[in-house]
Parts: sequence; structure tokens; C-alpha cells
Amino acid sequence: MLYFLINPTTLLYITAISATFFIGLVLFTVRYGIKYKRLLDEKNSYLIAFQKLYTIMASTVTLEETAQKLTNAIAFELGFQAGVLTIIDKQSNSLKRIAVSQTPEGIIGLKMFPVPYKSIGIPLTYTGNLLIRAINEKKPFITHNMIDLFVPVLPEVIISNIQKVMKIKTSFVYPIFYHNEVIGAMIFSISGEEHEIPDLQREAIMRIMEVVGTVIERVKVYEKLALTSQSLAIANEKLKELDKIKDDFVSIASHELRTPMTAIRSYAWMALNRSDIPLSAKLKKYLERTLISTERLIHLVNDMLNVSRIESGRIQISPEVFDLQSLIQDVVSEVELKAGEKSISLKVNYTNLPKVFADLEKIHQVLLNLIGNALKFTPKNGNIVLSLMSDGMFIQTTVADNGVGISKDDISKLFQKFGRLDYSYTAAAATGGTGLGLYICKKLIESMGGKIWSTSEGMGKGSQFHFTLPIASKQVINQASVNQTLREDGMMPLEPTAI
Amino acid sequence: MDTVKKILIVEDDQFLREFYQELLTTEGFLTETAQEGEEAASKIKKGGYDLILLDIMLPKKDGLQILEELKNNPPSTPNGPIVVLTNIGQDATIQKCFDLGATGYMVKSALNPDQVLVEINNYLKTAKNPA
Ligand SMILES: Nc1ncnc2c1ncn2[C@@H]1O[C@H](COP(=O)(O)OP(=O)(O)OP(=O)(O)O)[C@@H](O)[C@H]1O
Ligand SMILES: [Mg+2]
Repeated sequence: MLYFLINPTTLLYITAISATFFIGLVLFTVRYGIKYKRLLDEKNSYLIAFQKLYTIMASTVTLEETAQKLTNAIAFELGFQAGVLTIIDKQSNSLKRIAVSQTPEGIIGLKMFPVPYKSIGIPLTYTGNLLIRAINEKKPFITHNMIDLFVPVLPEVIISNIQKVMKIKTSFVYPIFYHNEVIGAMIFSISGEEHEIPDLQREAIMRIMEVVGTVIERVKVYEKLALTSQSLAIANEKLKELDKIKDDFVSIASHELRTPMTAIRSYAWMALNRSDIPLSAKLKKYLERTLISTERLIHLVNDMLNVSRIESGRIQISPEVFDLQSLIQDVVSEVELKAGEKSISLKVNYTNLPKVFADLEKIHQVLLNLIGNALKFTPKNGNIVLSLMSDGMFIQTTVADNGVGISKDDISKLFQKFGRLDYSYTAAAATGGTGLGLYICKKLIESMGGKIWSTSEGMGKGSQFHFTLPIASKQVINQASVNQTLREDGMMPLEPTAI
Repeated sequence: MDTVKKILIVEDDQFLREFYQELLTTEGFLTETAQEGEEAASKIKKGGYDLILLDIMLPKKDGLQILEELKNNPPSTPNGPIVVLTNIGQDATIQKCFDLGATGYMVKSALNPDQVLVEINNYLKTAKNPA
């Protein structure tokens, strides 16, 4: 669990920081601990050195920067005249110099190079170069000839001149390890003979190379991750923008569509109900169908708007504690008239149940759609029964009818967008369904932490639709208030849907 | 019966405006109309309407601006309830209208004319005996 809480940056920092402590410790032991034990008492300088390395590591995120700071730190702390860090570049199959210490000698040397030092790449196949040998043989080397480190890329005359000006006598070459792999090499140069660096110190450098390897590999990984997450972030931004454009478009379009649709609806109604001449049966039928179709169109536009908002995560869910049974009572009395038209009996089985924690308005919509569906897909004189039960955590509501039923194969299609089943087409065409209702219900119920599903014995055997909602326990309410604070702006309400 | 009720219809769409007017006059109401925000504002300022149907999206001056002006500067002859007409049930906007003194709202596309009449009669009733 904790693992997921640590992001790559943090991981890198943790690695870098622990590596820093290690390097700091080794450097300190090597430089002060062995040679000048008494300096160990100078806690202040110890702490300052630590602090320095700590800030270096924690603040570097690019490979270049890290390499530079590592090289500087080691060269300065161990008293080398110059340090160079090289790493294997798999793409060009060569060894690349990526950092030269900013010690006085390092700076002199840098100025004298005929080409930028970063462009120097030694082919990994060229075993005449001491760096390549150190890598291949996984062990350190010593040379008094700097050209050993530059063949075959730069000519000997230039290098021996540079070596003279830099006053370098001895160069140590160390492979850099990451686990058991060699990933590059470092050069440390001094103006004196090799015995000036005691054996113990040389051994310690080997260990430092392991830490250098780890730090470099981690930075590489981090660089990759940073690149990936950067491009992901950009893609995500673009998607968000597109989503908003789509949502805005649907909003505006549906708004503009509604004015003429309302006019058609209103005038069709007026023609049917306020005509100054008696309507022929035919005209009446035409007008009725105009009215029904317009209502259906308005319903469709509302649902599309809702789907668009739900899909862009912009539906505001405002949960509250309420009594589900009294809401059901309200919805039932709302649809009683419609049920009466089809002589369908609507019954609610009441029991004593705790309150739920959900968005009342949205549950109202869900109930309207479920009962509306039951009414649509149940023939005359049918029965609809609503019942509730609790398992202590959730309250499950079931809307059961004895209507057309659903075949086994179709059950999984129900909650999809436009998931209207074939057989129901006639029923839906006459009553004005778009097949978005259950999809919206599912999204709404799930956003409140519940589930929705349906069961049926098969065609002609009626269907049951079930959904669950969390009981308003302290824990549920607290959790919601935590989530609440994370919510963004630009939230939208749900458009009302009729049944 | 009481005196004839006077209703102001503010709606920019001609067909809808004329529809509300016809529906309400047939029902025996006295009606006046305004088709954009400035015209509406100056009529509302005169006062004396028993009910005002106010579209929100209006040219020149929108419904919210009109409500705000009225709140800061109530007319000397008072008006009855203001019922906001909307196309979209956008909570935020509707809440703003309530904050600015509107009594209610109707989502135009959601209602058939008979339902519009029921709503209007309800608003007129509640205005007479404020609970
Ligand atoms: N009680 C039911 N009995 C049988 N089939 C049902 C029942 N409820 C839903 N269905 C099937 O599931 C389909 C999807 O239902 P949904 O509520 O999503 O759409 P709709 O009612 O057709 O249209 P809308 O709800 O968008 O107006 C229906 O078209 C119908 O085929
Ligand atoms: Mg439905």
C-alpha cells in the first residue's frame, strides 16, 4: 500500500539522499578519517560537508547536473586535480564523457580541448583505450600517459600538450558499477605519483563507484519517467480540453435546440387542445404523434446532455442523509396517474430501514427511470412491486414487474449506451425511449458507491432491477467529506428526465 | 372573482412569446410583453404586474442583470412574483436568480401548456397569501 504512495521523484530523492549519506561517509572516512583522525572531532565541518552533498543530490534531477556535481564532489573532497565521468551510450555504442570536474586543472584542460569534451566518444570495441579496458575487465587501471584515455579519438600531440599544461602525472581509471554491470568509468588525476593515494583510499573509491552507478542509473530512470509523465500530462491536458469543447458544444447545441423544440411542443399541444375548429380523427392522430415525437426529442437532448456531463465527470453529486422509503413514496405518487392509465398496480413493501447517504435528486431520477421502464415494458393490468432490504452496509431496492422480461443474452447489454433491446423497439417507439436511461442510472449509482443490476427469468417472465446505496453510517459520511474537498469546479446539474 | 391579473412576459423568441401571450389571454389574463432586456427592465420598473415571466438569456441585458438592478433598486409600485424561464436546469444560475429575489423557475422545454398554466396559477395563489 505504502509503495503506491511514493512517486518516482520521491523514490529518486530517497535513493539520492541515502547514496549521498553513503558517499559522504566514505569520503569523510577516506579523507579525514584515515589520514587525519583528529578531524573527526570537528563535528561542524563534518555536518557542513554532509549538508553540502545532501543539497546537491536532493536538488538535481537531470543526468548532466547529477554527473557534474558527483564529479566535482569527489574530485574536491578527495583532493584530485581533475575528475572525469564517462558513461556508456548504448545508442552510439561508445563511451561518452559527460562531466569534467570544475577544479582549477579541470577548467584549464577543458579550455584546451580542440573539440567540446562531450562530443568525445570512444568506441566500446576499441580495447587500446584504458577506459574501455577498465570497463571490459571490471577493474581499475593507472596510467602516466593521458593519451591512453583518448585514443583513438584525439591525436597524441594535442593530449600530451594538455597533460603538460595541466601538470598531470598520474591518472586512475575506475569502472562505475550498477549491480554487477559496468555502466561507465571515472578518471581521477593527480600531479604526483600513484603511491600518494594509499591503498585503503583506492579501495574506498571502488565502493564510491558503486554508489555513483546507482545514482546515475536512478537519474536515468527518473529522466525517462519524467519524459513519459510529461508527455502523458500534455496528452491528458489535450483530452481535457477536447472534452470540454465537446461538452460545451453539446450544451450550446442542446440549448439552441430546445427553443424551437419547445415551440413545436407548445403549438402542437395548442392545435390539439385549443383549436377553434373540431379536429378530424386523422389530424388529431398526426398532431398527437408530432407532440409525442417532440417530447421524445426533448427527452433525448436532455439525456445526451446528461451523458456528456457524466462522461466528462462534471455531474455534481451532493449526497445527503435521507429516508429512501419516503422518496419512493413520492416517486410512486408521481407516477400513479401513468400507472392508472395502463391499469398497472404499483405496490411498495415497506419495512423499517436506516437512512441512506446519497444524492436525493439523482436517486429520484433513477427511480423514475426504473419505474418508468417497468411501466413501459409491462402490459396492461400488470403489477409492479418495489421492495427494500438491508445487509447492514447497504440498502438494496428492487423494482420488479411481471412484464415482457429480458432474455439471458440481453441482460448484459442493458446498461450500455443506447442499450435498447430489439424486442422493446415497438414498446419504446410508442412511449419514447432512447436507451440512455439505464446507462445514466448505472453511472449515477456507481458514483454514489452503489451497484445496479437486473435479473429476469427470461422473455415474458417479468424483470427485476436492483440497486444498492450505502447506509448513512458515520464512516460513509466522513469519507464523503474527505472526497468532497477534492472536487473541481465547473460541475453541472443533471437535466430532468421525464418518464 | 378578483380583479384581472396582469402578467408581463419577457421572452426573446417570437414564437414562444406569442405562444405564452395567447395561452394566457385565452385564460383571461391581461398580458404585456417585452422581447429584450432593456425593454423588460423599464417595464418592470414601472411596477404593478401580478406576475412576471422572465427569460434569463436575453439580448441587451440578461435576466440576471435585471434581477440585480431590481434588488438594488426596487420599483416604487411593487410587482408580484418573478418566475424565471430557463431552457436548461442549471442549478448555479437558478440559485443566483433565487438569491437575487426570483420566486420560482420554469424549465420551458419540460412543460406542456396545461402544465404551464398550473404553475402560473400556483405562483399567483402563493403571492396572494404569503406563507
Ligand atoms: N422493466 C423492463 N422490462 C423489460 N425490459 C426492460 C425493462 N427496463 C429496461 N428494459 C430494456 O432495457 C432497455 C434500456 O432501458 P433504458 O431505460 O436505458 O432505455 P429506455 O427506457 O428505452 O429509454 P430512456 O430511459 O432513455 O428514455 C429498454 O429499451 C428495454 O429494452
Ligand atoms: Mg428508461
